[in-house]
Amino acid sequence: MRAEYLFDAGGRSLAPFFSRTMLSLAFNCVFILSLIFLLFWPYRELSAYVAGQQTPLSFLGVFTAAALINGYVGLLCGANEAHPRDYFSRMDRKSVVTFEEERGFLTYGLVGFALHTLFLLGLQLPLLLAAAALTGVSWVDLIRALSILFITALLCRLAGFLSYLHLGAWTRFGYVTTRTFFLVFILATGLLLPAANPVLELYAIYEELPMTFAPPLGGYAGFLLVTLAAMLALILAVQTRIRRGPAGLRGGG
Amino acid sequence: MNANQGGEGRELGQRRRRGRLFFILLCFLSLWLPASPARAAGLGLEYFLGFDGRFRLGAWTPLRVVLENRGVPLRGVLEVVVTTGSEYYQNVHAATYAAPVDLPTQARKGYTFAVHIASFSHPLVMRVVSDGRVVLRQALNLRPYYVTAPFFLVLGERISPDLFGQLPAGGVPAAPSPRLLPVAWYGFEGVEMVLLEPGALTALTPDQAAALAEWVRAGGFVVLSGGWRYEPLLSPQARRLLPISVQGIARPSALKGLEAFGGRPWSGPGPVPVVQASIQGAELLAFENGLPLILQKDVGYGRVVFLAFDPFSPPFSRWAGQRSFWERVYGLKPAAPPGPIPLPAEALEQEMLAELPAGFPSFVWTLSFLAAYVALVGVMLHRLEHTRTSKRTLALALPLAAVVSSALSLGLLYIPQVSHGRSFSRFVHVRVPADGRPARLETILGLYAVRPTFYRIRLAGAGSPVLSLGATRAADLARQDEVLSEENGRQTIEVRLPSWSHRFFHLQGFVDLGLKAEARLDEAGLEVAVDNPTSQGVRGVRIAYDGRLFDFGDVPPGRRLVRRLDRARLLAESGLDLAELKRVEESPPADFEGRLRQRIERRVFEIILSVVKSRARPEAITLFGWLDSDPLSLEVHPGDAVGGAVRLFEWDVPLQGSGGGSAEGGRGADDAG
Repeated sequence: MRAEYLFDAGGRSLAPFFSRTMLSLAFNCVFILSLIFLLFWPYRELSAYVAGQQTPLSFLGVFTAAALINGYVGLLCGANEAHPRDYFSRMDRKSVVTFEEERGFLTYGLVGFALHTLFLLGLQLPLLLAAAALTGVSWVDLIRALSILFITALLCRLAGFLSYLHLGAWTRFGYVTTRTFFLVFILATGLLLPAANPVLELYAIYEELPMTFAPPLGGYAGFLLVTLAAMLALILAVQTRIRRGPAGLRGGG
Repeated sequence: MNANQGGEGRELGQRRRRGRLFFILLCFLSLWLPASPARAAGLGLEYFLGFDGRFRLGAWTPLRVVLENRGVPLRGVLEVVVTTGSEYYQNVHAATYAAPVDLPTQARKGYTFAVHIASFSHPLVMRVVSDGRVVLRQALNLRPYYVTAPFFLVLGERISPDLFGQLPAGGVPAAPSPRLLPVAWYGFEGVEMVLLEPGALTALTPDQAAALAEWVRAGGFVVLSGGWRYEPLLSPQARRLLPISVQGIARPSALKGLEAFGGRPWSGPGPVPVVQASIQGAELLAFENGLPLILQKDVGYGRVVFLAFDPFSPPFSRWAGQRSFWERVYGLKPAAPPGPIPLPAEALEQEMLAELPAGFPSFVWTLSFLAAYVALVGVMLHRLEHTRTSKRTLALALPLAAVVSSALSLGLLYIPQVSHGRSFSRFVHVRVPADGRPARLETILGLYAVRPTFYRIRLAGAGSPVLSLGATRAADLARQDEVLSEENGRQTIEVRLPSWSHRFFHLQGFVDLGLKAEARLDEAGLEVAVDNPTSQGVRGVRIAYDGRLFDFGDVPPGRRLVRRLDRARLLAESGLDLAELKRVEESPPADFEGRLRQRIERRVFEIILSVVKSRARPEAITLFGWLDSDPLSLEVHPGDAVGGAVRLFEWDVPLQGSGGGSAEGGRGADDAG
């Protein structure tokens, strides 16, 4: 089984799970999330929340932070920006053709992306469960929220990878493109296409809203529909781009 | 030819355009049809609100809805939606009263509700729902029909409108058809006095007669008349209200006996038919040559006045003293019984809310657990970075650590939190009057939800008016409307609570506790005895006497407890105070019900103490204590909701002055019952 994305020491993987950089990134995610967990801890009695008909913010705060953190990490990993950022490392990596560019995307790259996203989320899971417990989120909503985190991170990673394939790593245009995508996905969809916005979906779960932000699509189903369609489109674009030849060989795009 | 062809072409074009337009219209129609309530063909609705079409604002009032089905058989629910509150204050709240309906073809059925209407700003909606669809809907603007004064109901077949002018001021006279009277006692809440011709009694259904009798027991006032047609006085409906023995009819030439009562000389011409009746335990108020004319009898908290003559027909109806007569009769209405000790509902709600079975996990433990996890992940990642030999083992151990920690987080934090997310509590206040009348019961029922919950509460019986109490964030009430229904003699409350919310309901009723108590005050001191022949224990009884509070003790089931307070102690001691109450409190119990009990008992006794100190009553004592079991049982669904109850009884016991038992300063004598 080809699984260089786990322990690749040769530097030919986009984001090898157990490389020094990725491990430190994973720890930073857990650490930051635990700080946010503390920040959103309900410091009043439970009865005070019931009396005031207020919902503790733990779920919303921690899950939103997790969506942003994992989405951004996914974007970095996909865009081949997760490695050391000093000048010489960049120059070194510019000539590297990664396994993800060489091999069939559906059988190698996508699997690695999905597994790494799951790995990062898995490390954060105890914190996420604790936050959901404090807010009293139901089983169904918890699974929905976790799936939103997973989809968000994977979609960002795919978008980052597509940008890398077309524009290369650490190029100015690539940098702007990936960050613009992130801002559009996290912020602009809130106004233009709420059903595709992960933060609004998490908010809808938190508030037990009927999720009618985007009447034509609506709710969690709408989110799945839009994001999975976007994901399919990205996979198709990535696959097409990979078939044309590795981006790295062409000097990044 | 070309012109003709052009004309035909234009016509064809126009037809096509019309066809398209028609098609588009059909499409729009098909979109619109499912959105509008489907009206079941042949289903008709007729309603009768209140008394003579009027209702008293802020009181329970009867509503009779008659459904007629000339179409296909229909099964569903008849709902009456009463909306109160204001959009401005965002506290709009609807209560739905529901009854199941089963209407075969050509069926005509009536359904009687008692509804509480607190405002007229929203229409009252009656609708029939079948298979989740509204098949019939009718809205009623309440504004033209409300009154603020109480009703004087005049029930009979031969009621002259002239009578309305003779009735005392301050009330709204109404003469509704007896078949439109309430079937629940509290449906009469807006009524001050009922004048009843005997013939009207036989028109009452057994439920209506029971409701009328129950209303009298709860404090209502009925004036029952006699006259020529006295047979209905012997009917089961009359017997339920007031057992009367009738010996026959007498025909005195005048009713001079009424002159003293009415304050005017009798001027009626001719003989007057008077029922020769006797009522056991009744008080005679007026008579004519030994023939009782006016009798009154207290029934429960209410009173029935029996007029042996016919006040709705001549010669009485031509008497000039009618007005003062009716004013005097109205004056016989019993005063409202002294209320229970005032326990502010808001304070009780706050105490109930403050003690819930669910709680957040300990901050210290959660923090320790998560800190340990983060440290473990940190150490493992550090080892992974620096090891060359055991990299794969550590790589496997890392997800394993995450899985184990997630399982711990799930088991220790998530599952306990979610499973304790539903709870309810009750505060029951039973007031036992001094004279053996039934005990009044008031209950505040609190429902709490940390996660969305559909509550269904089934009361053991019927006849308890249920009112929703306000919430702290009234805006949320709009999505928590309750449904009240009654089936098979049991009342049901259904309410859907969103997460992190609560609701309070107020219930009333009457109970028979089965306890006995007596108190004697003599030279030796005060002796109080409580008999508890029931199977429920009575705890923490305290005696309120002359502005002070003394300990009495617990009365176990089937026991009699006698306690004596000697004269010296009665004169010298200042009784229990708050400090002493706090001293005797136990340490906080571990279970939810124990904690709830301790919290509420402490708060209630603070209130009781302040009230007792402010009202010294040397002629009676009051016993306060706690019941172990519930006098008003109810079932709460879902079954996993954790519940607790606190039950206070307040008992007025008249003091007897006879020299009784020997005084033993403050020592309790526990005699087996």
